[in-house]
Parts: sequence; structure tokens; C-alpha cells
Amino acid sequence: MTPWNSHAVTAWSQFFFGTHSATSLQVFRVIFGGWLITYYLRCYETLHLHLGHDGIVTAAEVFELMGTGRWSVFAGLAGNETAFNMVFLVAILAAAAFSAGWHVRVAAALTWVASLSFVNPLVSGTNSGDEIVTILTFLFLLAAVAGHLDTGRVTIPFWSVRLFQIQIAMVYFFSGWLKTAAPDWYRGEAMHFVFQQPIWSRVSWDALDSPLLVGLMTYGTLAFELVLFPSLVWIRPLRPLVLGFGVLFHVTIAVTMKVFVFGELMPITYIAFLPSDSRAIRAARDWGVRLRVTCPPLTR
Amino acid sequence: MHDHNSLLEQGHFPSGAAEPNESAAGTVRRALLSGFFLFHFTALVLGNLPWSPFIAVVYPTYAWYLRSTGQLQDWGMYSRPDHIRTTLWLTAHFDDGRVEYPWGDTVGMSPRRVYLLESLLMRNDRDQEADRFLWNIMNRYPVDDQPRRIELGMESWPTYGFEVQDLVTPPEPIRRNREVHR
Repeated sequence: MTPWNSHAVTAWSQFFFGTHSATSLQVFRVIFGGWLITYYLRCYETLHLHLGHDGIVTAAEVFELMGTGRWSVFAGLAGNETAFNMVFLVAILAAAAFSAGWHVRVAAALTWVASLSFVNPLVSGTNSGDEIVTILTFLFLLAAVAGHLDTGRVTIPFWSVRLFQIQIAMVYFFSGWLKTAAPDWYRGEAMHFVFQQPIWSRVSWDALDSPLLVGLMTYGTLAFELVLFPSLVWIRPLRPLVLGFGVLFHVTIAVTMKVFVFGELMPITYIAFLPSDSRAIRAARDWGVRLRVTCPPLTR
Repeated sequence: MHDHNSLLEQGHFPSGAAEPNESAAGTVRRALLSGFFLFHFTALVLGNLPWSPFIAVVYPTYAWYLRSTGQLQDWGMYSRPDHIRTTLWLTAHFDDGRVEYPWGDTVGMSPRRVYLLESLLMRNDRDQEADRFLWNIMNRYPVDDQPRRIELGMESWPTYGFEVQDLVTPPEPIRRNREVHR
């Protein structure tokens, strides 16, 4: 084997199979599971409008809407109120069990099945944020099947965390990349058109709608999505800065614009980038230890 | 100064190897996982590329994986902002002349509700679903106080870039609506 491909194999091996503390992924699981409960509850109206009694899609139409390869347990059940409520209840209980670490493999499988079954048949009121949810539940399922989410695990191979990290970096990179193909972003004017849509804004943008500020925000967004996050987040000393800026980016969007799921979920996904010795993970771990001391554990 | 955890975080065993003294079964497992990762990330990258003759050829080799596992990649949000300013309403009109907003006005409406209304109304292939939705809203009213009609409507004005917005007289808005009558 020549030195360069020996180095490549070693680097690949370190990157995916090096040993990683299990704590970050466990904290991510607990918080994502808790968030998933609130997500399902907030989606209830949209889901019920589609799949419950008197809904806007019928059982026969679900197959056609999803197309080849996509699936849902509602494929033969849309419109059946009892089935809808049962699946919804199972989804809530599975998310709670997933967060609590109780039968985590079964819980991970159920949250994945429920999320896909809910999102796939939707014809309106859904966006890419819902796709992030189905993607994350699938990646958690892979980690769970491999035993990386088992409570009591101290170390895990790095790959389950890497799957999350690379997917998150790809969301930013391709979001920026697709923008560069549009003249409004290329010319630094895209945010001007975003500001002109009052039904999608929580605030009036009139004061900021100047060529200078619009240009800075347009190119700033491109720079963050296309270059800063996807490249600098891998550099350990710069990571807190990148993640901090990312949180600020999403919180600003969530406060000023009517974008759902992304603003709250993307900062949660940053946990996958936090090292186990970071202050946030240590605080979460200490909080978890205190909780286990005061409450009996559900399972080991 | 590195503690044990930070070394682990960086993928370091004390020996510096990823996993020392690996068994043959472990090597095979890694090779299989590596093959899966290569396929997985290749599918994600291809899934992010715009449709093209190239994608049309390779699509069947990876689409089944992305579609069946719920990993469709679609990160084009706000990549092409609308060049229209839109107002949107959902109203219930009663025989006595009352007009109610079953979901409130769009300013205070949740983003998911706004998105649902907008996508039902703006897509031409969603008329059937839009009508079912309006009947669903109609049927939520008590039988003895049902509206005469439920309307989902919108008005859109074109918006212009900085260089031309002061030179153009805005035209009349484009109106679009769906309604169901009791």
C-alpha cells in the first residue's frame, strides 16, 4: 500500500471509527426526543386536517400522492379517526420513551415510522423542516440499532455522530449552493424580496430595506451557508464561534420571520458538534445525574 | 492539556489507533459500514443536485434509498423569493351578514397555517384538496349556525427590485379564491 492511501485509510478510520464519548449523542437524544413531543403536538391540526375524519386526502389518494418508494401507515387508513388517534398517541409515547431512554431501539423505530407516516402524505402545510425531522429520526434509528444510544454506554464509534454532523453541514452548503443559482442572491438583492412578504414576516422590515443593508444580509447569508458553517465547523477552536453564530442566525430568523421547525430544530442539531468536555454537555450530564438521583431510573 | 474525554472526542485511544488489535470480524464490519457510508453520502449529494440529464440516468440507483427512508434532500428554501406581496384570508360568511375569520387574520396566524392556506390556494392541482379543506372548516360550525359560505382568498401585487421600484406604477392586484357554499 502506498503511503498516501495508507494515510487516507487511517484518516477515514479515525474519522468514522475512532472512539467518541457517548455523552453528546445521549444529550442530543434526550433533547431531540423532548422536542419531538412538542413537534407532534403542534402538527396535530395539520395532520388531522389531512389524515383524520373529514380530512383533505383519502386513503386511496395517499398512494398516488406519495409516489414510488415513499410509504405511510396511513396508505390505507387516511380518514379513519380511530387509526389516526392511535398512531398519534403511539408517536407521542414513542418520542417520550426515546427521550427517556426507555426501550430506545423500539422507540427510535416507532418515531421514524410515525414521522414518515405523518409527513409523506401531506399535500400542504409542510416544508423542508419536516424533512429534517424524518432524516434525524432515521439517523437516530441507525445509532439505536447499532447500540450507540443504549443507556450506560460510555464510548461509541464516531460514525453515528458523523452521520449527523455531515448531514447538518450539507443542509447549509446545499441551501447556499442552490441560492447561488438564483439572480436575486447573485445580485445581492434577495432579502429585499423576502422583506416584501408581510404574511411571512413577524416585524416590519421597512427600516432595513436599503441596498446596503439588504446586500450585507444577502451576501452574509450566502457566506454563512455556503462557506463558513460547512468548512469552519470542523475546526475545533473555531467551532464554538461558528455554532454561536448559527444559533444567532436561526434565532434572528425565528423571531423576525414566520419560518417553522428550522429556527428551533437546527440549533438543537448543533449538539452533535459539541465535544463531551464542553460546558453545555457537562451541564446537561450533571443535570441528568441529579435527575437520576432524585427519580428512579426507567431502565438500564 | 487534554483530559481523557477530550482525547476520546478527538478520536484518540491512548495508543493513537482508532481501534487497536482489531479482529477479522471487526475488519469486515468496518468495510461493510464504510461501503454503506460511501453509498449514503453519495446518495445525499446526488439528491441535492438539480434535475439534469445526468441525474435522470443515475436517479434509480439511489432514489429508492432516499425515498423509502425519508431522507429526501430539499434545501432550496428562500432560494427564489417570490416577487409578489400577498395578502391572504380565510373567512366564513353568514346569512345575517356576519363575517368571521375562523383562523384569525394572517398577521397573528401560525406559520404552518399560513403555509397550508397559501399552498392550497396557489397550486392549480390542489383545488380538490382546497374544497375538502373548506368543507372541513364549514363542518366545524354547529348545524344551527353554519355559514352560508367559506372563502379562501388572496390578493397579490408584483414587487420590484431597487433599481426599478420607483419607476413602476403598481398594477391592480391579482385575485384568486376558492369557496364552498352550504
